Amino acid sequence: MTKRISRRHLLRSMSSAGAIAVGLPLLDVMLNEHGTALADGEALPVRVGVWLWGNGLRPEHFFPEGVVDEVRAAGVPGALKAWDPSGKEHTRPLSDRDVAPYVSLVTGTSVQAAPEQAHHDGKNAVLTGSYEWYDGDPDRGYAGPVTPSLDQVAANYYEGMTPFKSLALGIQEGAANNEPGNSGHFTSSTGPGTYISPEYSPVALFERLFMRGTGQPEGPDAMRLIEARRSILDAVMGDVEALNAGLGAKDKMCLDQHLTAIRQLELRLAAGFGNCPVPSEPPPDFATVDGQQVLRGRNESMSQVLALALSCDMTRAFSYQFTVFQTGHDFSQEPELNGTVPSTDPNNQLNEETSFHEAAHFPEFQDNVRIVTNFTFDNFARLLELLADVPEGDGTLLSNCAILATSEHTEPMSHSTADLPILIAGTAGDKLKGGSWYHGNDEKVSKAGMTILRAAGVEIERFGTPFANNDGEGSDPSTTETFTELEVRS
Amino acid sequence: MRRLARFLILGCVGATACGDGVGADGEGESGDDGAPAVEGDPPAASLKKLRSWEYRNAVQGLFGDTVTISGPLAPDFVRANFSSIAASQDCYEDVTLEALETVALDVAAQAFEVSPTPLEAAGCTPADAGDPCIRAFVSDFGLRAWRRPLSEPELDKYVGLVGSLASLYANDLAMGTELTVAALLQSPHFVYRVELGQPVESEPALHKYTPHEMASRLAFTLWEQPPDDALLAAAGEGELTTAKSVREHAERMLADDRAIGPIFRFWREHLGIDRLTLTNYPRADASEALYAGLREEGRYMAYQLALPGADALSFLDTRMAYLQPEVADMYGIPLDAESEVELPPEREGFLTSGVFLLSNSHPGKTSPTRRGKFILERILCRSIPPPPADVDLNLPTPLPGEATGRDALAQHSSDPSCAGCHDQLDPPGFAFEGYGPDGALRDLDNGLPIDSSGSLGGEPFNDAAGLIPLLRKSDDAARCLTIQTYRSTLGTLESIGEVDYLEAFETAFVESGHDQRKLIVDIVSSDAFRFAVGSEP
Repeated sequence: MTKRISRRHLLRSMSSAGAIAVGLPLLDVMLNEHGTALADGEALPVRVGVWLWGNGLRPEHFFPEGVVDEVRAAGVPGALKAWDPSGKEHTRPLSDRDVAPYVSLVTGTSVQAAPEQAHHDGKNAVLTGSYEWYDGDPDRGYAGPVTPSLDQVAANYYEGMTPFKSLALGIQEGAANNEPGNSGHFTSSTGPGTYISPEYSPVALFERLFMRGTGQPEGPDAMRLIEARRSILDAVMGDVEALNAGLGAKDKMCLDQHLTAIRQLELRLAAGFGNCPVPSEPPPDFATVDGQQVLRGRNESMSQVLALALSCDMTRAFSYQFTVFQTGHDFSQEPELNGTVPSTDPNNQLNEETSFHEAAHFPEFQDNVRIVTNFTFDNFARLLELLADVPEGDGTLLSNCAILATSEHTEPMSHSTADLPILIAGTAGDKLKGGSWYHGNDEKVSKAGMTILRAAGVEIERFGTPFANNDGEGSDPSTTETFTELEVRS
Repeated sequence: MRRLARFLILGCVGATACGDGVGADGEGESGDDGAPAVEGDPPAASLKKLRSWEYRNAVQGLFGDTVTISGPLAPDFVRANFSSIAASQDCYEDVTLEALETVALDVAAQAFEVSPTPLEAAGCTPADAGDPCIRAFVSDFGLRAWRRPLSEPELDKYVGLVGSLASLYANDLAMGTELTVAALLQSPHFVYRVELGQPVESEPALHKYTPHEMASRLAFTLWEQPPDDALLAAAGEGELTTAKSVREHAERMLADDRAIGPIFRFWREHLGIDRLTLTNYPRADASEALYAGLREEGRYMAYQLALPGADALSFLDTRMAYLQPEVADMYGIPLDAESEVELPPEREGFLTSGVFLLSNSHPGKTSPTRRGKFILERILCRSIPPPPADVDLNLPTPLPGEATGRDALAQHSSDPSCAGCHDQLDPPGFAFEGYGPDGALRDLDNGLPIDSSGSLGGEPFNDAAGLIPLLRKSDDAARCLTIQTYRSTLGTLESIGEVDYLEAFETAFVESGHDQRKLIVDIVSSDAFRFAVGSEP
């Protein structure tokens, strides 16, 4: 009896811990003696990420002038220039936080799919190289894109190399994610109509990463329980595999996800995290209270935990949904914006013309869009700053990342997807140029994802699906090509 | 497209089998005479996630009140308005599966902390891992946990697991059994409803659910619970293979109080009652007490509709309501304490309730379009395409000069790119212009008299009191409620091959005086519920 109580105690104690401050550990112990590669000789991993914010930006405060006409005059191909983000107020935080040399700008792209749905087309084209999985029945709503998002393509490739296949994180909690079809609002998708809902709590993420089921358990009881859990998971895995035969596509996908979850758990149970100096207490949570959210605080904590997870090589793929696609957030809740932008109705539904998204249709609201977007970019720059603060090999953690930052449309009044805002942050282990501005000549927006995947060494032929849409309209949103001008040729 | 292709392949079956029922007369799947196995085209089988309350019920069904589940379970989503559809379409995410591992270990530990332990309660005090009583325990527990007997290889595996887990704990067989219980609770056979059917001999593309699968389908559909002993016994006897047998069990189950819950939930999901929260619908002047009262009014109505003998269409025109003082005050009824009241003439049914009126308005402004859309889509099952991507969704505000909200919407009719849909959408919503954005009665809009008139299907009405009887007597309302009940019951959206079923259900539903319980019995005993087309690989 005592033994059983102690086992339960053990289970519970996995989710509590003592206290030291969050710091950023190095990957040192996992590196070779020169600190330039993993101890087994493999190159330092490139972490692939997506950073999404909702509802676009003010183009006049983002796009630099000058090159567009040159490119148009010259025809193909596009042109590459040095880029100084301090010239425009949206991108100025990248300079202020000293991460500008890591970041490149891409302009002159287009979304190829036939325009069917505002928001969805742009998001799907840039994040997945595909279109909405939508079979014409309006009751089905928007189920999400057809092919996996950039982070999940990388996650599939990296599967088994890290304890967590990927992380899906969110800062602003959307109001309506239990609406039919609202899964289309999630950033990470894994296949037709399937998605990963984001983790909004930095504390829950921290506990999941470093304590629940992993931690650094000591003593014979803990080790015995880990062994028991591994045996149990083996048995369950056998059930999943036996069930797989003869199922439909969706069910197969469910079981694949089941297997992945089990394998990851087993991996974690087997490996533990002896190599990673884990702080014993998570950073503050900044939970939503009575509908009130503090994005700045939550972004800070989440960015810290993410930096920790990436530096410990716990995952190599992530999505970071700063504000939800088509955001209806009330930004006046944010302490630093209070009194600067008006209060808006956080209801995230179409036709709520008082929500942020709906108000942003109107010319008189655009200065608020400017202010909010400046805030958004400063939060992005803060994550990059934290990543750049971690030395790794010859560079930093950020130089071993390749993060696509984008939104679902360019500017909110028209919802146009022409020339989506695209930043590529991190130089993929010096495979990509930073501090550059590439202006394409109406090139496929999905090339941004392909550029990142190639630079990260993810071996795929094509990003996205070559079909246009369900009705056969539009052109191929996928690509096999990269922005070669941004690649560093060795 | 895939669904259509399926129809083209099997659609001829429906065309040649002009039966008068929906498989209620028993078995046709012998195929001996070349007749089609079933009428119509049943939906494909798919794994169904246990919704969080079903997971809790399933655990409680195994252990009773000796265990409590702490911590969050899978988030429950809704697709096409119903949680049952989301449960069919969605997979468990990694985070949830990790959490369910912890829950399984914790629940098993709790169950084996009490005296007698489940093993002792089964009269098993094993001497060694080979003791037959362990096999008997795993067999019995497995049957109840997985809602079907374990196969011999499965039984061998899990009995073996008892021994190997016990060996980690100095051959403590109770511990080995406890951890094996935790394993069975993590299996996809527990966390999903695995109901896939077996190919019908005469028509292999068609699957028929096994007796145990039918027991599970009936139990989760009608009770949101795992099968009870009677269903498991019936399945063990090979019953539940005929429409008659399924109908008998369904009728028994619907007579039980446990049948109220799923129908209660149907109405809450269908009418969006629980969605009226301050988070979803923030309004400057709204209070939590008022919202709670409005939800309570809606839930009371939903509960009444879930009781035996209810006329399902009475949601349109019932005059009885359960009101809190805050709600009564808004409705202009003097009321000191919450009670059931007879509504005044200007209030009848769901469409004049605060839940509908408020949650289909903009803040501070009514929306005839949203109110009309709800009526057309939810109550009449008409599909309205979303606005074109390139259309400017904003009406000019403010209008030049004095105008009502209805005047502002006039652009919908004058602009041809809007009129096609809005000429359908807006008129039913106009009927409710006498109710303000919060649901309170109003005489004026923007200081001007209100025009609540319009027409539905060519029949004119002056206001809500005129529209509601038109809805009540329309064929579409009964047809649509049949469709919505079907969707919720099967956890699927119907495809074209299921039209024959729906027509037969609708006819019977109308004849029964809109008895939704009878409709549900018809649905679960039909071929649509008892058969499936094989999965599309």
